[in-house]
Amino acid sequence: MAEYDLTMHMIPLLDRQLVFPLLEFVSTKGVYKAEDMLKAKYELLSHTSMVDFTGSLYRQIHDVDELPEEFAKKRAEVIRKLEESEQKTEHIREVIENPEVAGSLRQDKLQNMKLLGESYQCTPEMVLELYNFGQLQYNCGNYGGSADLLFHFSILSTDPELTLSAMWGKLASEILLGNWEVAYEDMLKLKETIEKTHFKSPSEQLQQRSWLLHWSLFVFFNHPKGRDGIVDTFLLPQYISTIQNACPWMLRYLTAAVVTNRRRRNMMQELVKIIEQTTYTYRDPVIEFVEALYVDFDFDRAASKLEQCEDVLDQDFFLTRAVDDFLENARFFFAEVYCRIHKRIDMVGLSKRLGMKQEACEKWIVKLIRDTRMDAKIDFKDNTVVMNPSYNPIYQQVIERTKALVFRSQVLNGAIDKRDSLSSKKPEQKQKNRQQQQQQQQHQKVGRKAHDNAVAAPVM
Amino acid sequence: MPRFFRGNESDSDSDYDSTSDSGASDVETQQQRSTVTSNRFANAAFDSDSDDENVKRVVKSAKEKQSEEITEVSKAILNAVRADEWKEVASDFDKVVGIAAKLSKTLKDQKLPRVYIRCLYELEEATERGRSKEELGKLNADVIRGFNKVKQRVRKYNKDFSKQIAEYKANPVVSEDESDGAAGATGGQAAFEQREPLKSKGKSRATEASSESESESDSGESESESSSEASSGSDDSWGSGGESESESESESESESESESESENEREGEGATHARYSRWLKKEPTKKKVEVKKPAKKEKAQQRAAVQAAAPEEEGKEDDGFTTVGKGGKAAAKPVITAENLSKHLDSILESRGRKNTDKKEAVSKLEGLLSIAANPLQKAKVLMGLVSAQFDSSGNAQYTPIELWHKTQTTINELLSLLEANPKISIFETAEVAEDYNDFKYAGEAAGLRGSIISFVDRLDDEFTRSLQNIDPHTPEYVERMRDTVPLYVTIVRAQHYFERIGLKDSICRIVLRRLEHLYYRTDQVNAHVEANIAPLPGHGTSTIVPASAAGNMEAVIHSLCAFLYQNAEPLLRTRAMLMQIFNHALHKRYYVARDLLLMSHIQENVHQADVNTQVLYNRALAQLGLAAFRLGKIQEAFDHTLELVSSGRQRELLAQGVTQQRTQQLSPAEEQLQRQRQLPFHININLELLECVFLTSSMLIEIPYMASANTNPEARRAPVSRLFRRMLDFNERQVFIGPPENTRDHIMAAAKALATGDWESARDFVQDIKIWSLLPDCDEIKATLATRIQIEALRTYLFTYSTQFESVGLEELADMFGLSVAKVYSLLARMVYGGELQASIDEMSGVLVFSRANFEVSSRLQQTALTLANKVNTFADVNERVFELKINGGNPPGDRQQAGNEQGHRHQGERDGGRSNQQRGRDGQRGGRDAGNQQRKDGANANGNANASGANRGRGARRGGPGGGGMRRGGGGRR
Repeated sequence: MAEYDLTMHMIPLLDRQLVFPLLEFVSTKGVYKAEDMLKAKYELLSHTSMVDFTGSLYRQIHDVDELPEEFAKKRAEVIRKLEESEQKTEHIREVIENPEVAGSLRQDKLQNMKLLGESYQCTPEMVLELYNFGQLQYNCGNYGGSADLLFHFSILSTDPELTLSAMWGKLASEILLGNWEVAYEDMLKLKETIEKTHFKSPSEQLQQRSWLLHWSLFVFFNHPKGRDGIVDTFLLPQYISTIQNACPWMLRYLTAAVVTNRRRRNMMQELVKIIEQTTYTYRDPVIEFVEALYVDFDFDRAASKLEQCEDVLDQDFFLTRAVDDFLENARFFFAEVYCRIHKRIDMVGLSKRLGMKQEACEKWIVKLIRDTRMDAKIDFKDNTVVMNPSYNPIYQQVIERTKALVFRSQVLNGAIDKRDSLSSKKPEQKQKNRQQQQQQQQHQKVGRKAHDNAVAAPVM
Repeated sequence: MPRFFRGNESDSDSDYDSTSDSGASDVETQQQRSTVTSNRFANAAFDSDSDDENVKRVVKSAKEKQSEEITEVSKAILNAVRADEWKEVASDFDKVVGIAAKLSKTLKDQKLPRVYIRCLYELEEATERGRSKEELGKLNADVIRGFNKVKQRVRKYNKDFSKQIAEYKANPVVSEDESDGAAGATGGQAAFEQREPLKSKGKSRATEASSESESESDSGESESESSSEASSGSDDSWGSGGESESESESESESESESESESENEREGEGATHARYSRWLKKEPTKKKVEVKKPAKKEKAQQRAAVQAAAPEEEGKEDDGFTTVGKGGKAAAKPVITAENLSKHLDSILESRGRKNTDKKEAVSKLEGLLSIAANPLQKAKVLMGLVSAQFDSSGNAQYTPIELWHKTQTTINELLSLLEANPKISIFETAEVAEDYNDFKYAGEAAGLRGSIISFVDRLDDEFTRSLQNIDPHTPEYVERMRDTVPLYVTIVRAQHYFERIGLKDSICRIVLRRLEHLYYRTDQVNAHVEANIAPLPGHGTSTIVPASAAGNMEAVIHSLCAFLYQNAEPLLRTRAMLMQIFNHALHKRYYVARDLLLMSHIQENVHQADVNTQVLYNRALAQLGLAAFRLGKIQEAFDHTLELVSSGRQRELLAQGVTQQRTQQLSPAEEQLQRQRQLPFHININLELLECVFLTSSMLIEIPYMASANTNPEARRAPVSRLFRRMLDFNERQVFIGPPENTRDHIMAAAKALATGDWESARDFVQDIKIWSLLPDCDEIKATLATRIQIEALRTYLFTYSTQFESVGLEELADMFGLSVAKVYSLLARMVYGGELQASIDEMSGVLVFSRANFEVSSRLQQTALTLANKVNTFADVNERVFELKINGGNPPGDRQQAGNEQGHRHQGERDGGRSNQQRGRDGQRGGRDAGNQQRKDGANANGNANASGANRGRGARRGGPGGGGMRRGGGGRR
């Protein structure tokens, strides 16, 4: 199953410490060799400051009890640095934690710094030290501390770049702590900041966005509102192009999110279009299921892909908990399309395709019919479902189409009036406009437009 | 030797020579006087030679009279011969023969005057040499008759004198020396006499002509004497000719004749040293002469004083030497000459571009200098000058003559190898101009020269392209010419290596682009072949631009070249590199890569502002992209990409592959010239017929089912997708009699009609019969894909057309009818049903497609009209809002419409999302079209100037969106 494993794709776009849970998960699933996994973990952590943990991994790999000296050295170094930083930041931490100070802080960062500098003798260097200390804490695995420190820093700092990176650190800390509520908010903030910031080059922005996409997976699949959030976020135009350009594998998560989220069923059409455009760069069973169902209308293939999906999702760190949800909803989509197309459906065939027992399937279909209020009936004798496709009568269609017109015209009329009242220097025209019937106005507009075209044509 | 004869052949040159005689001889001789003293002895000898007749004249008057006469007539004959006046020659010949007979009697056993013998010899030569018919044809009948007569008579008569002539031929000097003895006494007088006419010569040509009778024979002899190689052919006026040559050189203005050209060049270097070298070379000859007549030395010395007073004579001599000493120059002592080489070089370079400068002459002068250049630095200097001169000398021809081009290329290569061999020397534009002339001391230290290799290579490449533009592509000549692409490519790569070594960033970018230009339009196989030629180059593989790992893999090579440009070049070059890479990807069927590159680069947004060549490249890339899509069976994409290009009706112009006849507009000659310059050479062209064929086939596959659905389904929009195709189809249908299809278009029309009736087999046959598919590399594959597509579209068309006639259709029957598998039919039907194209549903149990009754209900006319009305009113409202936005609200949507917020986002979304609603897309497109229109109004006076395209067309293209979004903008781009 390694071919559908996305860990390799995702590692470059995640933080070291965020990768760790992924590796942990993958090693339990046994996709890769255990030995390799251990080495990978060691490699991963040896660049952090989590010396003790790294040491134990080292022991595991090399099967020794004693650690080389360098571990002790490194450990001492880390502790020394921590202490040093702690001392340095002591003052400012005290100041910040003072509720009085917190109350007097405002939106304006420069002003805040001035205030801190004047009343509490806090220098910008001290603020910067907050950042360093936070980073150290984070590196050592003390996420709670780092989250606090970085939060303070991001409030106080006037350096946009460091603020951004502090926000990333905060998000990572919250994720690793499992504070999903906070992480969710942090993520939204970060998203906003990325959109607002002007990056030096488009590629930098692209990178930031693709990081956000990856990191947000932790949040979306753990936060209760995440399922909606992921659909909304990922389907934003800028993130769609990020996915298509930089990380097409993220499409799996988007697809899974759309499929599992029945409330956002209307997103399916959009998703199908994206999938159609992107399948040349990336495909996996989850995507292929949607493709088979909505692009090729090949139900057999869709059914077989659905089977594969179960395995793939199970191997996926983020989606493993959504497997059942996904299968359930996928069947629903499957049945929906099937019913839309068919007049009479063979229950046996359908149940086979859906991978259910016939009886269960029957129940399921009944439930489906009830839930979606489809005009369908089950013929017991032939063991079939008979659909009564309903088409909108013409009258209904005409009504629907013309319904919005009144509103639109009113808006337009109002807008024109508003403008006229602004430019009241021409009272005559205003008078005229008011007198005119709406229909006439339209005629006039069209006439004007046509006239414009006539003028424009010879020039072009 | 042959040059002498040629010199005699037509008199135009001798005439010319004598005209330019006067001025410069003084200058010449003065120069000579200063340098040459040793040859005075020789001169002295000459003088004494000429005395021959004079002696006799004094002693015996009758004899003298006769010999005078004979001299005169002989001279007249010689003149006439050169003027091709054979009639006069004939009469004079009779006369001279008569006199000669008398004279021989009086002279008894003495020899006849030398002039006479020479005249005979000359005549024989002139007649026997034979003339091509062509030459004769130029002369008039009288002359020819005279010529033939003389020829016969001379042949007969000369038999008697054969001995003397042979003698004369073999050793003219000796014969003179013999007579010299007798002449000794009166030598001084003769010398004086001789001097006089020469002086007068300096005054005017007229006097010269009159005084010639005396002096000519003398000078002529003196010359013939001096020339060791029996230059008996040269008479006196030749001698003066020689003089004039040197004059014209020193003036270095007048076009000189071809014969004297090479000489001119050499001398024209004004180079005293050159002449000097010649003297050096000739010394032995002179000595020989002197040795032969040691007795006369004394006498000669006596005369030296007189000689000094007659400088012109020396000048004449000098010329005499000049003509001879041609081959000896190579033996020049380089150390001496190299010293003043750069001065000469400068003087040549300074004259460049001036009025009346002889460019060819400059080239050969420089070539001469090249062999003198002592060290690499000097060589490099001369080579640079030579390249420029060679470029200059092509004149006003449409393109550089191929031979010259080759020469230039060789020179550039030489320069490059020089630079490769001497890494210390570098040439770049910003080098300081060193005014010192000490370069002959150059000993391998670092040296910078001002110059621009890139401009040489650019020019070379441009000239190559221009020659290809002008040679008829269907001739072997073109193929022959195309062979030069490989050496040219090698030169470019060498230059690139050079620039990389020197680190000229700007030049590297330009040269890399040049290299790309040679690569991008060819397939990998061809390129690999070409690339193999650069492998043996020195410095190959050291390039940082193309890593060694990329060698052999052309895609990688092109990519690394482009990547380099993306990082380093200015925007224009970047854009061009990008377009070339897109083209190349598309050429190799890497459609997605090419498309993504195109879309991500956002070129289409600002290609209007680019120069015309870039726009052309853009159009080419799009066309190729269309072809690539088609080859992959992506009909819709192929259609979108080619739509605007083909339906513009000006493909030729947009792709710079020829000029379309403009009925409405007359191009000014200047514009036409510009356009012609822009044309791409034939082998780079995209086949327009193929492009059209691809477009029409795609149109057919899209339009026919669409038409069918529009006929039955009131929901469908009725505007044609491809207006051009629709028009052609209508035209075809209106024809009374339709013969079997002949050309591509006929085939597609026939196929379209077959497809409309569901007859997929004949449609397929028609399409597959099109010959032009064979131009596509994967022809069979494409045909197979097309066949499947035709089956599918036929099925769809069939269902659309006849759905109202059916209650239900069996899936298996359909599969049978259209040769498709049941599964495929099923999937197709499912798609149509799900998409709402067919109002029907599939009965899984019985395997039939059941049409719903709703279908029939719709057919009520009133209902249909009501629906249409509702649609129209909606459009109406849309239009109103749009007008409001554009005209009144300055682009903002009115009030709080829902779409208002989204609008911004959609625009950012770029090209990649095909997911916009149709309406939205149309709206954006409309806006785009308008903007483009405004843009165009501004740049109205742009190059092509024939932008009378309809705005409607553009708007329609814009509405297409999706991948076609690229297409829509192209129109704006290319059109201008």
